[in-house]
Amino acid sequence: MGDENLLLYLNLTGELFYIVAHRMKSQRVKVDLAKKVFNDLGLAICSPSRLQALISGDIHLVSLKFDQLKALMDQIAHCSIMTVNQYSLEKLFELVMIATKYQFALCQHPRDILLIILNHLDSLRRVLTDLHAIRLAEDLHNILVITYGRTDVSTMKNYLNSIRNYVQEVRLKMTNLIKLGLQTTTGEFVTNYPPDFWIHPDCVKPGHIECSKKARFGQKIKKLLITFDAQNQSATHRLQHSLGLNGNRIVSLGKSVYDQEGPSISYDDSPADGEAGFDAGSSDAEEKRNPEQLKRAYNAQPDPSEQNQDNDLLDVYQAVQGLDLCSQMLGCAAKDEKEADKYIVFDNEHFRNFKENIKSPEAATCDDVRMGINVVNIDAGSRHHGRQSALAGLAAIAKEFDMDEDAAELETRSNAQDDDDDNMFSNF
Amino acid sequence: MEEVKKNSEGIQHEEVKQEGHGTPDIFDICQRIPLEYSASSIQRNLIALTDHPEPKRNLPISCSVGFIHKGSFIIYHVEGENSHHINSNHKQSIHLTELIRLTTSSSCATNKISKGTVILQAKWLETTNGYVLLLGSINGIYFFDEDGVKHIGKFDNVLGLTGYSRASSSVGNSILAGTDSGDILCFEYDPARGTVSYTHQKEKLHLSSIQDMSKYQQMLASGDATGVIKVWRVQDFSIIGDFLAAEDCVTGCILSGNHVIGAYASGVVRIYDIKSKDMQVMIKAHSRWIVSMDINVRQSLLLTVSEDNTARLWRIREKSSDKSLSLEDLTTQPKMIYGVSIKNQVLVGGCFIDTQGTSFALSSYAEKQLMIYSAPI
Repeated sequence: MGDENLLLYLNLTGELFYIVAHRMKSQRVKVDLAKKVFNDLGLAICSPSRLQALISGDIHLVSLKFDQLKALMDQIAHCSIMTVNQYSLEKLFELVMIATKYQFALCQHPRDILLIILNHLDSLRRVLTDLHAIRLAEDLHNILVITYGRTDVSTMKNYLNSIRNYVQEVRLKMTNLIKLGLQTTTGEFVTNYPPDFWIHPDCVKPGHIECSKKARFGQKIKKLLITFDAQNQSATHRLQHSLGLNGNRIVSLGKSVYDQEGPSISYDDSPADGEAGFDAGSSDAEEKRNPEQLKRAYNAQPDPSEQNQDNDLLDVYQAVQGLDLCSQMLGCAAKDEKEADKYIVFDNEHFRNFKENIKSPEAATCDDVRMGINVVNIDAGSRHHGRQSALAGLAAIAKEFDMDEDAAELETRSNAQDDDDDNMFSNF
Repeated sequence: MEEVKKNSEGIQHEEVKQEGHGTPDIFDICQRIPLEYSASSIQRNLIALTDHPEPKRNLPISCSVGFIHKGSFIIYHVEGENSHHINSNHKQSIHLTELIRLTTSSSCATNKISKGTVILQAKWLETTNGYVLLLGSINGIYFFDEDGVKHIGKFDNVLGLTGYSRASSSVGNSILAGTDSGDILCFEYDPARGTVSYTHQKEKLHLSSIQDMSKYQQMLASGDATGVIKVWRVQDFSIIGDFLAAEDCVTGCILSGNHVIGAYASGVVRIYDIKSKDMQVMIKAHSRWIVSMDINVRQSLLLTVSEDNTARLWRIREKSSDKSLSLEDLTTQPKMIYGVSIKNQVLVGGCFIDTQGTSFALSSYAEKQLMIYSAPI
């Protein structure tokens, strides 16, 4: 059904969005105006008519000349109240193209194309406030996953090659890429930088030769294992990615190279002039940050030495998902999110410390967690199967997941609930 | 270091560790040939045709190398008196878009062509009367003489071909092209007229896109996107054997003697014995997609090039008596004899450029240079 059209379009428009967001942040555009621009951009990028034209092949991007593509970018950049002069448009187009070339040149595996695109879409969805735009973006997410999530790897490789060849002759040096150490001063992309340390789950770690031969007359098999020096002793398989709406994409390609934390709209106190705006001075602080810090920040891949911690995080994430599902099945999932008891569930010492810094449940979904951990919303007063409280059921489940502290808390509350019930009944 | 173990099923295991990664002073001479065009990201995007088909010691390097740049195929002539001095000159460029525009008259085709074509495969195919150059594009398959000067045949996509052709081979004067739909198109080269014409089609020989093809005498091997390699008798396309690597994608296959060698998207190289149908060797060769594989039969050398930016040379020797791989004699074990890691480039092709197996060339995506590695004579 699909081809490389939609993938290329979303990458280009995603990069356009990053640039616009960065410029608005550095120019301290008012929050209300920024929200309007983001929502208008979201509506333009996710426009059903445009997407339909791309999917049906009416617009075939890899066949367009760069002037024609620039016209399309111009159209999208001017979808809102923002105006871009000709010079800025040229610069914007160049940045978009070189960023796209970088991402697809370094794409580790054909299936990573979808993850790169989803990184762009995730960043866009995070800043949308218009319900219609949010719905369109979520629908687009589902279309991408359904269309490309199960496409065979050779077809994805053809798409990757097609996009690479389209941007083949783009030769530019990008300040942000050079600052992050991802491009040399001569314009070459740095390829021995992580993600080279991490091997795609579908690929192997080189270094072994296995020979086997059946002896004559169907007797036992002889096996010989030869190891050789592949000069990549530190390489390790990376974690499995997720295609879910709030899943962890694992790859850092496709995230903004202009803003470590991704585009955002801040609701904090305004700068000294009293007008609402982005965090004052945040862009200045970023400019002064050590390039090594910027590199580490951009490289969201887990350090091989931290793999075990992140495996624990994956277990916790799965545990939370399991709890959420169980609360649904037990009938104690809160109908009203605002009134529900909120449980943020961690079972890892690393994150016990982090938990103290979460100011609100909503913050549990921020990128720092890197796990898209959900908040489980439970109606603590609900009942299931007669006298057994939902809390008791959830306590038992938490124990299964070795979440002892949370299980103890749930049990205590369940017991307190039972005591209240007993007292209530004793009055009759 | 060797260690012999027996597991609970009584299978004898031996473990051997190869020290280092080969003789350090071989293939360490690298020269970079500047190009006017950059190589595209296409599977196996570097092919070579040597001027000296019969290997002799101390012969200078003299060959044509070709690579794909979008809708064009570029040929350079590379020569050198010895491995220290290699010269190159631009020999020929085939701009397929222009050619298609000149040779096609219908308005429908014109619309299609106006968007420009893209070449998906290029191969020099051996016939009884020299070589034919095949270029497979999104507009069809085009044939040229050995030097790429004369256009000698074509097969348009307007005949209803579903998908494109990304693999080809030849047996005698029969030229075979595999397609995305798993079919094999058959052509015949007429040496008297010097033309190539379409004869017939073998449908659904594979259930997915054919990724590479290779021939050895009267046998043909074809590998597809689902990890299946099939070996056929060319006369009647009766199947000799099929080999499955589940959940993997074949990116290259080579027939050699009684063995078929497959390269895969996972970075693995597998060697199967055609008679016994067993997988005899599995090499975890690279950590990413293998983009190119070439063999030098005389030196028993296998070259693999991958997107993990490494090119590796393997010695895979057969016992001359029965052409089988032996476990008893350690000197016949496959081993890596050389590896090179190219910094800050994405490799897209590699091949031997002489029949002695003393030199090979590498191409990189969007780079206007070829890298040539030679062993000192």
